[in-house]
Amino acid sequence: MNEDFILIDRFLAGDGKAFDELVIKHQQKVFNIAYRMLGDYHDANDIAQDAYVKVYYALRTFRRDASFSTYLYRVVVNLCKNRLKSRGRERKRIAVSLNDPMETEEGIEQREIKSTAPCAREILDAKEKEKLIREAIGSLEDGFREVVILRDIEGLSYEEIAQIINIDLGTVKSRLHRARMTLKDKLKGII
Amino acid sequence: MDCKEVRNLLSAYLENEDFAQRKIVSEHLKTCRNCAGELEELKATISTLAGVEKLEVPSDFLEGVHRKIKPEHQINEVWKKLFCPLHIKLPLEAVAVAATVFLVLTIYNQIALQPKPQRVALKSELAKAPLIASPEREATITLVSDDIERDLKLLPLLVNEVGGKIVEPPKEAFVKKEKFVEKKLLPQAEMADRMERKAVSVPTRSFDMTFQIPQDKMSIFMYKLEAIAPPEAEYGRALKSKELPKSEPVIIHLKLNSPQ
Repeated sequence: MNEDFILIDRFLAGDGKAFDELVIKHQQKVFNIAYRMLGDYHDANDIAQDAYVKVYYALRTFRRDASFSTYLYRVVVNLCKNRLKSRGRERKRIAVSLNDPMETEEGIEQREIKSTAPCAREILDAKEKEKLIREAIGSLEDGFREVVILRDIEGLSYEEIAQIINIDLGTVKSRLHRARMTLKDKLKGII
Repeated sequence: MDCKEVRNLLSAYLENEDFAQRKIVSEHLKTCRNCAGELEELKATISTLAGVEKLEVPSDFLEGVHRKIKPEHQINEVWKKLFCPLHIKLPLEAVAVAATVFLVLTIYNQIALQPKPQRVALKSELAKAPLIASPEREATITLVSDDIERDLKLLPLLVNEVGGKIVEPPKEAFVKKEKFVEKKLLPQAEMADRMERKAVSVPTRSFDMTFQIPQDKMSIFMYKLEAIAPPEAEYGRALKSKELPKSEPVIIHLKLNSPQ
């Protein structure tokens, strides 16, 4: 019998330590999925913990038609999507259009966005590179971000990703390809 | 196969999918430097992503999970901390006697030391309490269930678990909801993207029920309710009035719907 299912049975029989074992066993992956989805360490910690709390109360109704890890990743991905949605609403409220004129001491001038591309290769250290990757992933559309994170960063199979996101295999493949091509263009200066 | 088609197949090519297509792409790459370059860039992107740093989980992660699983888990932990360090086990009778003495003394102190004006305060508080349930102490929650039969059995158990009371048992109501479907206007290929949105009635199974939940159990109840609903389910938020006396339960009108 699956090791996770044994732990779930022990937990349902009243052994609280079995739940802790489940947390510890999967926490690394859950935390990193949340971090890559949200791009923020504290938010990732919060959401990864919330995923376990949700699972704690749901284990009794868990139907075992998928593996426990698939179920757990589905919960964390959905919680991340909700957090991103509420962040989006927040951001809309305070967003300043880049086309809006900017007020400076010399008067009102147009905003300018400087390209970092030409000298990027020389000045980038590992931290900046990591930041650019994070931003590039963050700029992907909903539905594409999670596919590339689960496949290329976390190394999950197409089948598992299809179950987690509840889409068919063909859609996983096409979204993955589109997300990779977008990232390839966005990260041109650093890879 | 032209460059555009080949580029759409590069991910599949790297994942060793579809042998026949792989051969065609491979032939194309031998003669097209642009597409070969694209493939190299794509490979580099994938290996960059695979090599991103994996973060360590904060050392207090598990503790944080425990803190959030309130209050049952915490209570268990408190009990453990209280009794586990003791090498001798107290007999249950001794604990019960000590608890009873403590309770009697506390109640006696309350009665003996209670100042008289407090009775007036109690009266005025009663006078303020509405005769019928005020809307603030009620909440309406809509739950979209993927397994309505299972959840109908689980909900009463859940209400029981948090010390709640069922006021109105589940009653079935068939409702018809409008759903928009897209309909092709013309069959010709050039007009295929012209669609018309049309509303159709879709029968939805729905159950209505009402129950009372103690205020201090509301957060745990909501957690459990979320657990019943699949992660994608939508539910309303329970509203709680700050002025509501702690002893008053919250009345929940729950609507359990099958997904459309």
